[in-house]
Amino acid sequence: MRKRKLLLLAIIFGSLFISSCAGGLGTAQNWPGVAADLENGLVYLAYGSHVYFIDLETGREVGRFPAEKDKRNFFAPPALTGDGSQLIFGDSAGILYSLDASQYRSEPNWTFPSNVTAGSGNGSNGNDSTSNRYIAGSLIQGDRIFAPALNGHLYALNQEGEQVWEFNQFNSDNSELWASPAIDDDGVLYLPSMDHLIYAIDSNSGELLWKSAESLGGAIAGTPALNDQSELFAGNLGSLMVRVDTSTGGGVSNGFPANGWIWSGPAYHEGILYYGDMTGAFYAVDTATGEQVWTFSVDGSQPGSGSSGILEGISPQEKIGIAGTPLVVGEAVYFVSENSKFFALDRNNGVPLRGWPVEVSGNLYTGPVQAGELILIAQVGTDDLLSAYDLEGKKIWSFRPLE
Amino acid sequence: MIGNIWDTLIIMPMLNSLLWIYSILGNFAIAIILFTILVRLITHPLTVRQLKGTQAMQDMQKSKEWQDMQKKYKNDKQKLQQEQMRLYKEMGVNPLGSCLPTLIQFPIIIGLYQAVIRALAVVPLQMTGLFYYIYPFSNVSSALPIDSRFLWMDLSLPERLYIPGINLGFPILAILVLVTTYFQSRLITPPAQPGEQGAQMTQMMNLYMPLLMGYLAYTFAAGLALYFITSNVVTILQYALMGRANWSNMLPSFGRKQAD
Repeated sequence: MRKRKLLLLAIIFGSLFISSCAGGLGTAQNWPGVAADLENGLVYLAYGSHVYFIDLETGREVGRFPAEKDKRNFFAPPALTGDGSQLIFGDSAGILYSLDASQYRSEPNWTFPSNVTAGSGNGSNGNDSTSNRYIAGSLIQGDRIFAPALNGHLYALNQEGEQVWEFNQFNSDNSELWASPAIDDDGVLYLPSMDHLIYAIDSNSGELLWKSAESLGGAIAGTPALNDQSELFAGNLGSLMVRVDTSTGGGVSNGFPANGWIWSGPAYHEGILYYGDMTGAFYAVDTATGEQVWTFSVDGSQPGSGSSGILEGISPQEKIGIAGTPLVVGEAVYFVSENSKFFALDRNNGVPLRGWPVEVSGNLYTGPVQAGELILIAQVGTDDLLSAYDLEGKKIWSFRPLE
Repeated sequence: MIGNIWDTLIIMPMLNSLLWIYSILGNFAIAIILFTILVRLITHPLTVRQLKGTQAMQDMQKSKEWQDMQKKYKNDKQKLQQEQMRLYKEMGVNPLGSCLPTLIQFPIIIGLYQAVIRALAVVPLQMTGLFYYIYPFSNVSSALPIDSRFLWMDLSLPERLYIPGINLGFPILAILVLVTTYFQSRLITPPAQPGEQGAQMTQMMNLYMPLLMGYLAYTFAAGLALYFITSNVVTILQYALMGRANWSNMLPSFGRKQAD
């Protein structure tokens, strides 16, 4: 009888344990979004319940939005308007906000849509839903704000928060937008979608100019890079960096393979494409010849060597992925890996600069962000949410939210 | 270490199987249903073994020795219990045999829950985490992201059916889970003997498990509720096809009459 009671107790506690893991995915965590504002001397960090305003020089918190924690979550990178007056960011309920960037104020200038109660946690459909959150940051060009919402809607707003046009002519009902669009000098937006396609949209009218004729091999979660030869480069979850000819309506030419998912958009600099993948491999590819200039691996292994045995192939891989867009500054290329390492490589030969990599606390996903002579690194899973380093890898400050 | 073993032996096979089925069918709900059927087929030998144990217990409870023991110790519950346990041991019968299939399902439930939640990644942090669990030799990545919609529900969220004009969501799947779990428990439970300690335990479980499963289905992602319903229906079919479904147990009053 005692054994049966113990068994019943075990079942009860087991069920309580299971139920403690319960719940939907509406408030799932993500990695931070970062933007730097040199003119106002501020850094904006979107993470969790707040968007933090941080002094660029000292790393101290200047303010936060909202002032008190409520149902809202913010992870999409904030963006500054061209005149530096407004900070634009979206939340997990599908609401876009404009805040005064120069002087921190707790009330938004406007929200979009304007008819939703901000702070209720309810999105524009009235329900607490995961479907219309903002994951990607807005692209701001001139006086236009282009905001890609998760649920397959690209909104174009003016600086008063009024909708100019809306684009939702995607290939399927499952066309989610996880990345910001890129824009060329002719005002054409190139919007990557998780439905494996790229859409070219007139930024003035919202008219679809062309879209990829067929799947590019995988979902695209990073902002594409453009060069001055009408070429677009985008990495996808099919482990391929695709090359698209924008002048011929999206014709695809030979892309560049990778060992694993290419999550973020690449960095393009002087004809060389720099990008990393989720196996921890980092690549520099000459776009003119299609040749790999060099490769580098986060764990020191030879990229492309693959697993050493069946056991490694069927066990979870080590988490050394590169999820953020690299940053090119001078002769160095900077990137971070999930296993807490901040790298600086000589971009000519892929050799780590002296004193690198730098160990940073927490997991690193967000690509490095340059702020003048500083490089900002966002952190996950640690008390410090953001750290600033100089170009030689010396830590200048760390930001930890005020209690 | 334990986490890695769990991931390697349970999560990764389940997750990759689910994604592979989804990559072929393009419907995640159907993939969950088919995968559940596959799991039930794999665990069918366990079900057969449990049935044999249950039958042995029934035979024992019909034996003269058992009947005599009930009469002899009917006023001494403690002694009766001791003698029952002795007899169970002598005859190699497990009094909790009817609970075993449900208990064995727990690691499967937990593993499938984790696999479904990982597959239904809704933010970049979850999606990049999914990468580490996909076999390098598979090509399921091309099927991502999962389309989590099925009928009126989002498989990544607790299911609710909203009817226009009514400001209340109805948990249809949770109700179906509760009902099917109850029916399954009743059908696979052998007829109870009055005063039997094991029978009382089994009755408690038959009441508690549907409530627990219904609560889990109410709280968890709809994908898990689909697994529960499919698993219950398949179990009922298994027992029916083997001729082992105790239809007399479907309603408590009808069951008590049979026992009398």
